[in-house]
Amino acid sequence: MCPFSHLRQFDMDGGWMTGQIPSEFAQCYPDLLELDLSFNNLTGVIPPEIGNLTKLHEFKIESQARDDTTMEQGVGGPIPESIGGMTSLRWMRLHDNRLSGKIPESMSNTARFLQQMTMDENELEGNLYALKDHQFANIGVNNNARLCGMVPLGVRYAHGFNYHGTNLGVPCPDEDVGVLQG
Amino acid sequence: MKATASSSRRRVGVACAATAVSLAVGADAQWWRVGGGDGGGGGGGDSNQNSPPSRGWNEPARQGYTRPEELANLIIFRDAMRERGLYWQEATDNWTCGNETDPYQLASCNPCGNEAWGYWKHVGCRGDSIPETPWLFYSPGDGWVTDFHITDYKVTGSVGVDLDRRAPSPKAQTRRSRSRSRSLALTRARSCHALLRSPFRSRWSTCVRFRTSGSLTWTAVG
Repeated sequence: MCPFSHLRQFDMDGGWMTGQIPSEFAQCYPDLLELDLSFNNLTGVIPPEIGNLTKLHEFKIESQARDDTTMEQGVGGPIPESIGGMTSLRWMRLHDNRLSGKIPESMSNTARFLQQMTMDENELEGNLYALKDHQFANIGVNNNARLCGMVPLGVRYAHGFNYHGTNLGVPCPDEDVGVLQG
Repeated sequence: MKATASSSRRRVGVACAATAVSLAVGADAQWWRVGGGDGGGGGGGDSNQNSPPSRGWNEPARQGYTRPEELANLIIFRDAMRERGLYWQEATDNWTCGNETDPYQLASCNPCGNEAWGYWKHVGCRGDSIPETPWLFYSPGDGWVTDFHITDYKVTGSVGVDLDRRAPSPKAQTRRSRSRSRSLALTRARSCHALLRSPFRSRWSTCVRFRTSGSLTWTAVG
C-alpha cells in the first residue's frame, strides 16, 4: 500500500536518513516532479526502477555522508541504463557519492530538458558522448579519475565545467581514434 | 510499564485519527467552495470528490479540505515517525488537530489548509499546474497531499514510510553526530598534513582551518 499517491514533491534533504534509495518511488508516486534525498547518509545503489519516474524534473541525491553504523559512505554502483526514461529531467545532482561505471547511453534521451547535471567527486569512467546533444547551463564532472575522451561542446561551455581530476581531453584506452579522425 | 504507556499512546492516536477522520467525513458536503462566500450556488457545494470543478486563470481560489483518507494517512505517518526520535518530533511538532487558525473554519482538522502550504508545516496540497507555467500550481488543491518538504531537520531512519524501523535513541544520535563531524574534520586535517609531508611541501608551510558551505575543512598555505 502506498499512502500519499498524489505526491509531487518528496523533499527530505539535510537529514540523517540511512539505508538505500527505495525502488518503489515510481510505483507509489507516479506523479513525482521532485525527489530530493541529498545530504543524508544513504548508501546502496540507484535502483533501476527510478527510471520509471517519467515526469520527474529534479533528481537530487548528492553529498551523502558516511553511515556510521555500516561505515559506508555514499550511493555507489553504476548509473542505471533506465535513467534515460526520466525524459522530463531538468536537474540531476549526483555529486559526492561513489557512483562508478560509464555514463549510460540512454542519457541522450534527457537532452531536451536537462540543464544541470553534477556528477563530480565520483568514480565514473568512460567518455561523455551520451551527453553530446545536451546544452547544459551547469555541469560538474571533476574528480572522476577515469572519465576520458573528447568533451562535447554543450558540456565544455557550461557553467562549472572543470576537468580537474579527470582524463577528459585524453582519448579513452579503448577508443578508436581513427573513427574520430575519419 | 513502557509497553503499557506505548500501547496507551497508540490507542489515543488511533482514537484521535478516527475522530479526525469522522470530522472530516462529516464536512464532505462542503468539500468544494468557490471563494467569495459562495455558499451554495454555481460551483459551490459540489460534493463530487472525484471531479473538482475546473477553474480559469483569474477565478478566485478554492478553499479545500484535507481528504479524510489523506488525513488518516498523515496521522499514521506522523505517529510512526515520531517514534523514531526527537528530530522527527520537532519536524512534526504542529501536526495536531484543532490548532489551525483556519479563517474559513471549514474543517476541524485541515492539514492541507487553504494556501500553497498547509496548516501542518512541511505539508502541501496543491492543485493542477497553471497552463504554460509548470512550476506554478493552483492552491489549494483538491485535498490530496502533494508536497513533503522536510529539509535540514536531521530526521532519521530509512527513506519513505517504512513504519517498522525504529530510530536510535537521542543519546545515540548525539554521539553519532559528534563522531561524524569529528571523523570528517580529522580526515581533512590528515590529508592537509600529508600534503605538507609530500614532495610539494616546499610550496606550503602550514595547514589552516576554514568553514565552507557549513562544513569544516583544511587547506595548506604558504
